[in-house]
This record gives sequence, C-alpha cells and structure tokens, in this order.
Amino acid sequence: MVQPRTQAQAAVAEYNKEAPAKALVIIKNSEVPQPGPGEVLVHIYIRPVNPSDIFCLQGIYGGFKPPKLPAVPGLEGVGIIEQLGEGVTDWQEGERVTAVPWPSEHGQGTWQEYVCVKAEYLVRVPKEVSDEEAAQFLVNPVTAYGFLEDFKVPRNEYLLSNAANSVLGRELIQMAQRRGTKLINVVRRREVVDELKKLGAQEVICTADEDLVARVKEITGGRGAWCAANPVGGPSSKPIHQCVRDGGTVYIFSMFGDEVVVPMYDLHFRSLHVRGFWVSEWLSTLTRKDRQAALQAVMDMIQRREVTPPPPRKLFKLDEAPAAVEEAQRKSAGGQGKVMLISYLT
Amino acid sequence: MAGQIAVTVKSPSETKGELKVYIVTDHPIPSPGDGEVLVQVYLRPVNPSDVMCIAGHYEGFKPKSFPAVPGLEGVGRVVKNGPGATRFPEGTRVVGVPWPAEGGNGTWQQYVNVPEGHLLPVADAVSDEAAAQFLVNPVTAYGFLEVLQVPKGNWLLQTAAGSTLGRQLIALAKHRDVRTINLVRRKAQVQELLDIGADVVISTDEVDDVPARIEEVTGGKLAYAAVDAVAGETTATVAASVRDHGTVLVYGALADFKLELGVADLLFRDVRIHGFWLNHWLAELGDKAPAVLSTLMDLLGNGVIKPHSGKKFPLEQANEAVKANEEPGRSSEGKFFLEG
Repeated sequence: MVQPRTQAQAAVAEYNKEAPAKALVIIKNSEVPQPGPGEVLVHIYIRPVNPSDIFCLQGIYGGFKPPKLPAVPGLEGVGIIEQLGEGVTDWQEGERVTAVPWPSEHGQGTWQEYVCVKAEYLVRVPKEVSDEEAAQFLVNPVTAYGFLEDFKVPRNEYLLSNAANSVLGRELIQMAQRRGTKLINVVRRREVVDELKKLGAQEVICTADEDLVARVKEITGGRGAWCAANPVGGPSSKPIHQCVRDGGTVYIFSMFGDEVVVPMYDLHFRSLHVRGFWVSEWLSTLTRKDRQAALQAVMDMIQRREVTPPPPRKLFKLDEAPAAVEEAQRKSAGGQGKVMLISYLT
Repeated sequence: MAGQIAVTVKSPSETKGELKVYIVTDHPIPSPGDGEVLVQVYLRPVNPSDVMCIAGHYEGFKPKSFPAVPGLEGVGRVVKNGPGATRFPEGTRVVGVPWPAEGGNGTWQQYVNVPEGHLLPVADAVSDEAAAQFLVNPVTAYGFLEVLQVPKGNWLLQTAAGSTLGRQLIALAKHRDVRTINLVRRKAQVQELLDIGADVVISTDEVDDVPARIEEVTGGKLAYAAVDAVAGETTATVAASVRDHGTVLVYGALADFKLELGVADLLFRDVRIHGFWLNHWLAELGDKAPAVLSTLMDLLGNGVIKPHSGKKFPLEQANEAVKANEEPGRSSEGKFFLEG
C-alpha cells in the first residue's frame, strides 16, 4: 500500500474553555509515524465529535494529558490497518479496526489521519457493523455496558437512568433489555416518551409533568431505585438522590459544567454514596481477559443489531474540525446522531 | 414520686424551625416495665444534633406525639429495676446506647426508662463529663477510623477540626498512628490543636489554596481519606485533597444542607463521597457492638479520648444553654451541659 509521507491533523494548539473550537489548529504536513514493535499503523477515516472530545479541547478532561501542545485529541474512531510493526502476528494489513484505547491520553488521538497503536488494544470490526457504528463504539456503548456490569443491579431492582434520551441512554435501554436489567428512564420532554417506549423502555418518567420522586416510589414499591446513573448537574439533579434506596449509589458519568449538588438529608441519614463512573477507569480495573470479553460482547451486540448507535447527523472533513465542533455544540434534539469528522483516502 | 423536670419540644409544624424548648416541672416519672430500668439522668451535653432535634429536622428523633423530650446522650444512675431487669444494682452509673430519644423520650429530663439491653455501665475511671458525652462523639470518631481504615502513617483530613469530635478524632487517630490534617476557620485555633497532637493544622482564613498546601505537606500523596462536617462548598476542597480512590465521609452540615462540588475529582480520580450516620453504623455492627463500646469506654477511662467540657447550665435553663450554644467561636470552650 502506498503511504503518503505526510498527514493532516486537527490539533489542540491552546486549550480554550469558552470557545473550544478555537483551541484547534489544522496541521497539514505532519509526519506519518512508523509503527514500533508490537504496534500497528492505522489509517483512521471517521471519528465522532463527542462531548468528552470537546472537554479535551477545553483542557478539563482527565483522559487527555499530553505532555506538550500542540497535541491531537479524539477518543474514538475507526480505520484500516496500514502497516504492521515488528512482532505483530494476530493482525493483517487491510483489516478494519477500532481501538480501546487509542493513545489519546498522550496527545495521539484520532483527530488525525494516521495513528500508531499497540496491537493489543485493537478491536476487530465485523463486516455487519458500519464505519459510523464502529466509530462510536467506546464512549457510549462500552460505557452503557459498564453500567450493567459494574453496578450489579439485582434482578427485581431498578437502575435509574437520568437524561435517558441521550445516545447513551438509548443504547442502555437496548442493552438492559437483552440483559433483563430493569431501568427507570427519566426525561425532560413529553415528546420523547413514546420514542423511548418504542425502543423498549418499560418505565419512562417525564419530569415536565410528573412527580419524579413519587413515581419512583410507586414503581419500586417504596424501596427506591437500586442506584442511579446521572449525567446532569446543578440543582435539578437533587431529586435523583432522593430516588435512590438507602445505602444506594448515584454514579456521575458525565463531565457536566454545573456542580454536583447532593442533599445532605439523603447522604447523611440514608447513607447514600456518590461517585463517578468513567469507562476508562472501569476498563482498567478488569483483567485483560475480562476487558477483551467485554469489548467483544459490545461489538457482538452491535453486530446483531441489538444495540443500534445512531447514524451521524452531519459529516465534516477532518480539516473542518473547528466548524464541526461548533456544530456539535449546537443543542441537538437528544437522540440525534453525532457530528463526525471524515478523512477517507480518495 | 412527684413529678420531674423535663425539657420538651413542640412538633416541627408548630416550631417551624425555631429553637425554643418548654420547661415542664411536673412531667410524670414513669415506672420501669418488663426488662426496663429507671435511670435518673443528671448530666447531658448540648450537641449540634440535639439542636437539630429541637429545630425539628433530625432523623433520629421521630416522636409519635408532642410535646416530646429531646436529648441524645447523657449519664445517669440506676434508681429502679423493672421486672426481669437484674444486671445493674441500684446506684450503678450508666449510659444509654442508645437512649430512647428517637421516640421522644430523650435525656433532657430527670428520669427515663431504658431497656436493660441498651445500657452500658460506666467504669469508675471515667468522669461524669466524659460519660455524658460517650455516645455521639467518641463512637462516631471510632466509626470513622473503622470505616476508612487509614493505614498507619497515612493522612486523615478533617474539617471543623476544633469541634469536640474533631479533637477526639485527633487523639484517636494519633493512638492508631494515623496522622491528621485539620482544617479550621480561625487562625486562633491552630496552636490549640497542634498542642493536643494535631499533625498539621490549616486555617482557611490564612491559606487560599488548601489542596495545594495539602499536596505540599503530604509530599504529593494527598490525604488517604477525609471526614467533612461542613458540607456546602467545603466538600469540593476536601475532595480535591484526597488521593485517587479516596473516600470522603460527610457527616455534618454545618454550612449547608447540601453539598456542591465539581465533577472532576469524582469522575477522573474516583474520589467517593459517602454519608456517615452513627445510628446506621451501630446497627451495622450488630453483635460486634458490645466489644466496640467496651473498647471506647476503656479509651475514655485511660484518657486517650478526652471529653471537651464547657459550661454547665441547670436543666431548667435549657433555653439559655441552647441560645448560648449558637454563638460563633464557641467550640473552643467545650461542650455545654445541662445538669440536674
């Protein structure tokens, strides 16, 4: 395969909290690296713009700690193996792959055309899984899977999923169905309730016109939810804590701008726990075998269409990354697909 | 017997959070029932949790009817054993674990019936003042260390360190080779706490960047775990000052009835927030409780844990005591008591 000598990158030149699109600089003639021993060179051609990618541009994401700038962000994406490093025997040039993780933490993320990554982090993409689906494999589907594996919700108890209309919330509905885990889905808008029910959601509470705490009491026979997954901060998240059983846990899984607000009554007198859930941290607690099994299980579910990541809502070329970031920040109706950056070889 | 003096409170809907108690001088003196012991209570502290009972928002005080008697702890003597109660001769000094405060029959009166199984005899070496404040603070301090399991030589961070509980935690931690970092609000408290064995004391009115200072004094390790009595925005400072995967036990709400903190420490460093309530911890201990309580009585007896005793008010002056207790900066003076 003919390899160009240079590549394009959308790199963070300077973190920018207020206007993350301005953090980026397009570098056109960056060197294409050579894969070291145990590594492969992947040509990445499609990757989403996730909220967590935007946090990287803002300089507030714990999983992006490049030693110096400019550095390339981008937590996930899909591509083709271009070249094998020394000693790599399980993979072939031309295979379609994603990786968990890409070396984004060190500033070698997916918002560039070529990335060298350790072969042991590669995940094969089955032919039934589209590029767009594989590109958004880690951040949402694996996180949803992590909830179901890690929270150990017993058979007849409920996991409360707040802001359930997000892409992750919808994937969680699909996965929980397969697994038999009961969910209580909490949304803000009445219009989305039917959509979620069509996806398979059993319990959906709309906070615009329902009393969240009372409804949860009703559904759970007074026990409260076993635990909650909450991506929303600020005072409106207070009731979530009131909905969880005595001794239960509220898991924060998103880097929201507002603060976590925890009512003392529930924390103190009902012995609540509040902690974060970060998919990277969860994966690192697993043995290599269990990690690979988890990633395989998620890819299998996507392959069998049991979980259906949504098609992208808009595509931009890699060198249009700043515009893509601005589009991604525009408030989308939840459940709409992601903005993606493409760099197919022409 | 004639009536007794009792301090009573009205229902929360009547008080609307106002801190006012009503002194009754002819409150009936009960007779001990089966398995019960009539105790003459003579000394009880004024705790923040007692004040919350009076204001009508404490989970451990849920009387079915009002007026009710608050008072979560104290010391007394056995005056009469009910049928089947045989363990404690009349005159034995005892403390309740717990006293029947939850049902509205607390220690802010002179005579209380207590199930025999809830009484603990007080060792001779333990003073009245120490025994009166046996349950709420010492058991809590001990509970913190049991839950957090801070390894020897590691750091425990606490806020509101000048309180009675804070001081006892300093002593108990030292006893277990755990080093303490103590946050206080006023510079004047710094030397006081260093004098009683605190390893590091940081006054928030002098130090702007508390997590940075803690990083410095711990050689980069940060605190192993923390306990926080303040809540509000203080918990954010505390969470930023504990190690990755560290636990912050929030046990009080001196600043605010909610806590607010940024997400980053929870999400990226796996810092965990958990509530600690004495009643839950004691219940969880189950049959391990007697051994723990006995250990604590020993620690009080041999002076490892000291009471922090302040002014005594007669029981009838409970209103004055509660009012004086609300004055700021009072914690340096020690616990107020109601006696008689």
